[in-house]
Amino acid sequence: MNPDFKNLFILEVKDLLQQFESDLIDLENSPERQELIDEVFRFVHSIKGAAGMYGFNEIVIIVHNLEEIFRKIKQGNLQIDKKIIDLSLHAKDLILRYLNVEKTPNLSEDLQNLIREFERLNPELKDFNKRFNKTSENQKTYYIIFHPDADIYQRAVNLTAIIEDLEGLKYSLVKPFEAHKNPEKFDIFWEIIAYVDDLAELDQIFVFVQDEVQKKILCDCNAFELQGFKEFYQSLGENFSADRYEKLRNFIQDQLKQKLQKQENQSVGQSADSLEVKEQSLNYVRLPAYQLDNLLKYVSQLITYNYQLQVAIDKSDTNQVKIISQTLQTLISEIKDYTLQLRLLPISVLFRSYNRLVRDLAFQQNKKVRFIIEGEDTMIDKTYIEKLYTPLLHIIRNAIDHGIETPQERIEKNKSPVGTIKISAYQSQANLIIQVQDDGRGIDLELIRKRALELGLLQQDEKLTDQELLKLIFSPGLTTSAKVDEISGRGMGMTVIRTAIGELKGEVEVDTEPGLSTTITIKLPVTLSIIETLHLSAGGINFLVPVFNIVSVEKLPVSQIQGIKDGRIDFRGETVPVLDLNKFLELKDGQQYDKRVLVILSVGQCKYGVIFDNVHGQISAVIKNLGAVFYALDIFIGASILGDGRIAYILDPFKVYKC
Amino acid sequence: MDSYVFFRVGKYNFAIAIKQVVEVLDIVKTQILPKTPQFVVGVANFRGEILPIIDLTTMFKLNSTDELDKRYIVVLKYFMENTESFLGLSVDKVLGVSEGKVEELERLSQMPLQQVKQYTVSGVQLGDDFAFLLDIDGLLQAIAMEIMRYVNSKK
Repeated sequence: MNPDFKNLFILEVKDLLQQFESDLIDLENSPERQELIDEVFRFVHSIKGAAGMYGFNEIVIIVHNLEEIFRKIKQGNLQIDKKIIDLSLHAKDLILRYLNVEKTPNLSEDLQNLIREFERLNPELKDFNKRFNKTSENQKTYYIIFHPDADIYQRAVNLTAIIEDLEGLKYSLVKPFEAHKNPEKFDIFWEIIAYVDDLAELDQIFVFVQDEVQKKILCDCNAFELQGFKEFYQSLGENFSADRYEKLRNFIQDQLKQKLQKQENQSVGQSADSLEVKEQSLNYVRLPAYQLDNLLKYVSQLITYNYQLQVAIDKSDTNQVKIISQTLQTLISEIKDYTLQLRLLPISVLFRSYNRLVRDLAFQQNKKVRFIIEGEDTMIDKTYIEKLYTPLLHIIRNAIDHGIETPQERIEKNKSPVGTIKISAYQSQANLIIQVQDDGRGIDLELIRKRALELGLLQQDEKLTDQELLKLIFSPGLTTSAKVDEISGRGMGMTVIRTAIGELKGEVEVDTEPGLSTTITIKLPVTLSIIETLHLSAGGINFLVPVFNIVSVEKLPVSQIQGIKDGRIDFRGETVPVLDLNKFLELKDGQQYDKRVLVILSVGQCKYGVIFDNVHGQISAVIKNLGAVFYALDIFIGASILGDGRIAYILDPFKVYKC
Repeated sequence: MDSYVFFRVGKYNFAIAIKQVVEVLDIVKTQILPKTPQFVVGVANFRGEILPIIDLTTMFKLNSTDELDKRYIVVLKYFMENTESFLGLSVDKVLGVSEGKVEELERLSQMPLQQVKQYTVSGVQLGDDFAFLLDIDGLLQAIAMEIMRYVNSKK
């Protein structure tokens, strides 16, 4: 089997597992959503067949068990509860472990436990699982003494066949010994060490000589896979003694112990965080086929122009050479942009990986947390995704640990018992903004002051503004947590965050409303990025508006627009301000329109309308900056070049109008 | 001696070190850039990159001497705020590229032009004539300041 296919399969399953995990968490929150159960079936079917093909038998067992459990749920014979979600998430973890490493400690034990739990939920699974157990539980290495009676030939037993069968086993050592040195009497016995999946295999060989066989178990393992086993056996020498069994047994036990230790040492390094798994998979980028087709199209254009260039050079047509060389330069710059785009991934890859963390941490601390993701289509360079994982992890942990209160506490404060953590991403001028907001208890500024005094970061009589005090939480060692636990609270979290973001040339800001909320904002520079936009025009100029902020687009007769009073309009029962882009940007356009376009934008809590002349369609735009000297012109995120070479300005909905 | 690009704005000669110049273009098609001061001509598509263009004649408050039907764009590449950007300077006429020796303006017995004092501290001999040498960093900062002042005044 081509190992590349197997690797691709592993990558694909890892992607599917992530989706599976977030589906499970969604399902826990809204068990009535039938389509999520269908997603689980889709997941199972996508990997079951291929897992078997690539030899992941344990994964086949796990997904089969999952399938049967969810079949019962679909039929209405089982209710989704925390237990089922826990088990399914555990199943997901196990699949990941089977994909990643050959064997981690306790892996098969964990699998057995999981399967037992599944059987408790659905006893019908026992039959299926038994078939599989045969191959795992009965694996043993046997020590056998086969001492045939002297009359063995009279009984018409084919001794040669027995010995040949034993030697023919995949894992066996067969050694004859002379019992008595009496040449007149047949008296030979064999020492046999054999590993089999199923004892029946051995029993079959010895079926006619059962009474002449003594079996002992050396270990519940395959001793032949242990390092140096055969060599050790040979070192026992040619003479039989009764302690050979003991010696072999001790050797095996020692080897097993060493092996386990080695694995544990390894697993400490890797299982500390599932992050490593993520990074491995991110070394590949999977692309939609059309992107490769586009690249190919560019390459064929290059070849054509290159040919034309050769012709022009041969003819010494300087003018033609100039023209072609310019076209080539444009083309090359397009290819450069396009190639860079291929590195971009939607930020959802990153955000969704925290779903599980939020769920598990909240349960651990008896808190209720709703996790909301916004702007997950924002495209981001894949190196950012890797580097942002840990800092965001700390921020989210902090939010659960220090921010969100227990349900009782929240009820006492007249808050909903369920806390909210919102993570969002959006594009601003030349910046990528990531925000984590929680509606918890906020940051206690007095406590920061107290701790800062204790740590000597602050003088007794020093007066600081709230913002300056908040900045102190990035100092190493400063924590407002009363207790230090395994989750967070060692006071290093914020320092780690600031260092990591600093390495990306970004900034971190903290904002808090005591008792109400904490917001952490990460601002990253974006040299190249792509944004989904709506293409509109006004005053003969092209504009692009990020789709993320658009609530509605509507064509209105000009008369209706002229009738707008006080720059305000009714929108779905809400009064929102409206601005006419032509007037706002002082654009001149002689053209008359019967109808114009009203776009309603939303920024955070605020909505407003912008009037354009015309709407053209949706475009994925590469953001180009106008240059540092235009930094103050912040109503534009940047500009982009349209397919026909014209330039369009990308409006920044956050800056065009401030509510 | 270093090489310089020499050009004319109004009745004055100016010079820019050649290492800061990407190329010189004939007149290009531009599109207005809203909410910017008058000296910002607009933006052009420069081989798939955005090229904003500044009219130096307007910026320096000079008048073009001849009735020129043609203008030239000196394209600069600059780094500021960690980003690389292009900027086009629209000038009356490009005189050419040649080597030159930098001198204090006083030694050239010239007084700096009042409008460009902050970014011209020296000059370059150009044949019998001479040219004001533009300090590009100073010029870019002045442009950025002007734009910021204008944007803020419109808010």
